[in-house]
Amino acid sequence: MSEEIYDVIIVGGGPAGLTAAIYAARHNLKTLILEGKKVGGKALEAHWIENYPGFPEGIKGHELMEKFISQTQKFGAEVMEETVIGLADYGDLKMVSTRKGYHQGKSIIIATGVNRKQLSVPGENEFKGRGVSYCAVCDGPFFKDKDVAVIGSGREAIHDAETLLKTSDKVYLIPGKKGFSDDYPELNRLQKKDRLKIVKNVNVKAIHGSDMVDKIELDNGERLNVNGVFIILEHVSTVSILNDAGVDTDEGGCIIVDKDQMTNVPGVYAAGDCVCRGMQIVTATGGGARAALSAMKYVRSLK
Amino acid sequence: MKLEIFFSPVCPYCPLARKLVQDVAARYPQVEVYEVNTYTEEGIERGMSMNVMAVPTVAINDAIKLVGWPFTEDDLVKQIELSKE
Repeated sequence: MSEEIYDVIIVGGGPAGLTAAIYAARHNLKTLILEGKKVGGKALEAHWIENYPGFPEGIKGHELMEKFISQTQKFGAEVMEETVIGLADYGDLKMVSTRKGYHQGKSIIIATGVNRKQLSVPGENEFKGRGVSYCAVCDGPFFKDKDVAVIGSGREAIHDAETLLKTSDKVYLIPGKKGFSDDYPELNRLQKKDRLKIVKNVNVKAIHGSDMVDKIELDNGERLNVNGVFIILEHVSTVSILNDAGVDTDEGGCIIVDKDQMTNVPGVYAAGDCVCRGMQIVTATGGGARAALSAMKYVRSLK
Repeated sequence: MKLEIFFSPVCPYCPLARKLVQDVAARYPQVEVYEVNTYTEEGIERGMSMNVMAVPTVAINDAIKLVGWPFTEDDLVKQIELSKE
């Protein structure tokens, strides 16, 4: 247990979290960053970034993140490599549990990014790149005049099914047993398309093929002959933790924030990919800065 | 050695893959890089003739070597070295 009370605890050390830390620490807020993986986030993997302002020649992802990290350290933010497993709101004090213990903060900024969710059925990994895809707009042209399935219950899955209808022959849209995550008006338009079939009340049990995908197996025993399986599921990695703390997320698991990056829980802010706006380093940094400024205002209002 | 990088202009990871391929290939004078845009008729035909089903994909001497992103500099170097043998 740590007796220390931080002004701001930032969960996630990617571009949004590091920017929030720079802003918070520079304004003399006692700032802690908790990162369970590698400080720098997914941006570390970017071989070359050409659209981040200030670097007209471009810059390697890890080099840009090293600059973020050194700027964060310069202003005195603490960084701990700990995986967050819980978040609790006790009004003026929030508690963040990690695998090593817990930390207390007056405000929290969530900047955990998103993970693309796997369906986790037999055949998914085996046929990745050989019929299984996670990006319809990228890989759709390879399935011209072929039958495909789109697995997903959100707006992105519906849009991708519509995109695939332009090139593929038959498109099966499979939202899963829980159905679509909302009453999407786009569905009315899609249901009128002859080549689209919405397969309801079933889950996908397995993906089969030889060299490439040739069918999917549903849990009602039915098999659909398809050559492409587009898995369009996204989730915020910390969604269960957030729900425990009463932080609202939308149907896709994206954290809902207002214009000041504040969630529905006072003192809890979110920024970066986990709010599903922009998905760019530059939008993440903007959100991180806004979240820190809002957190600062909030912390000062407590004193 | 012919190295093809299949990409699409709408794929968010393809610019990273193309850049990595160009950077690594620059070290190997015997490697000729062909960028294949799968949003063109010729590009998609070339891809489908090789059973490419995702972008980015790297093929060396008409054989698929790396599919999807991320792949690393080490992955690419390894495939080029193996294809030299």
